[in-house]
Amino acid sequence: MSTPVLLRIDVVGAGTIAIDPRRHAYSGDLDLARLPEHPTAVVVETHPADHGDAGVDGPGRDLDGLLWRIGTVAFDDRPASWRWPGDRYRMLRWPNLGEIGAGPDDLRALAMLATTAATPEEVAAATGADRGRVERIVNALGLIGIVDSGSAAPPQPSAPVVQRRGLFQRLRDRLGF
Amino acid sequence: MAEHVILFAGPMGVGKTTAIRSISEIGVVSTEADNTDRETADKPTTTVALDYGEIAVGEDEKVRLYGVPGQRRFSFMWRILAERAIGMILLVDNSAADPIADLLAGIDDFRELIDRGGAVVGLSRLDAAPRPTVLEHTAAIAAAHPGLMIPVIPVDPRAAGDVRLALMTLIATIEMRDAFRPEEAR
Repeated sequence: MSTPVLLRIDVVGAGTIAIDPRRHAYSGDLDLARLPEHPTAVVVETHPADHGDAGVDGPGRDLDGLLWRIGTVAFDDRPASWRWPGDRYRMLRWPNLGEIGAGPDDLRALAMLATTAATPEEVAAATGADRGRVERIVNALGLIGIVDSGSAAPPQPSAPVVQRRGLFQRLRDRLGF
Repeated sequence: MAEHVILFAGPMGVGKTTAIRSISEIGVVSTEADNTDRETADKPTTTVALDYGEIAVGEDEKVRLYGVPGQRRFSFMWRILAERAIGMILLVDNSAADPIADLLAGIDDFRELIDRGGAVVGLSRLDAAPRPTVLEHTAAIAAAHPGLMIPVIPVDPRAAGDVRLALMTLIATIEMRDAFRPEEAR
């Protein structure tokens, strides 16, 4: 029988966090905005879940935010090591948008992956998002564990479906979003 | 004039009027009356027909924001407004007695609109009541409605940025669903 574990991660010079995967939560003094893309050292400890000192304080923060941050920076614009060339990806649930700081292009890419299975190349072509950014998004979704992958049929947009000047874009311009 | 109708739905007192006021470019038109149900929501007035606000996208295009009355006795209005709408922001007060029940009831009440257009759930008062979490709300939707994927976003109805994020997520969802709708459903 597997034993639930807690993680404690010390990003040297940036801060320390505790992660409770069962609660999908983390806490600590690590400011995600200041998380270095290439930290000099990271110390990871695991503890049994009943270890008193290693737990998440209070309700903690949604782990989506931390995993999104790591997933979008850890592999730069390249596919993460666990991904296969040519695979199409479909989102299984939306990430917590209150935690991930998604920009407008991210939102459109996520909306497409919530709707149809697609390769990053297809997402970039359909939404106008930067291909490298889409790779980062798919990496992050994979790290969070909310994307399915495989050899699904290619997406079939109704032309000219993905309107570069659709309501989203016009409203984005209007609201300065 | 091109118009795009967005509904703000949810139980009485959840912040629908406030959310529309946060992003509307015009003074919000409200049809309020004395609240005779202070037990459900302790506020002096409540919306009895609708709230209305709007955002002008261009000279000939508007996003119309309608807040539907929260009380079930006004449910006949929900259907009328939903027919014209392209999508809905469902607000849920996480400090309510049973927010998951409110969430699922809102989805049931507007299921036709959700399937035809789209929806976003805006969770309010998460700071006061952190449970159920965003993930738990998402799981509740998946359990009750397998295959239905609705973004769940923390929203402070007073914060324009939060309401804008919910609105833009909704529009992105609607556009993509329209774009990739199966041929037989177009």
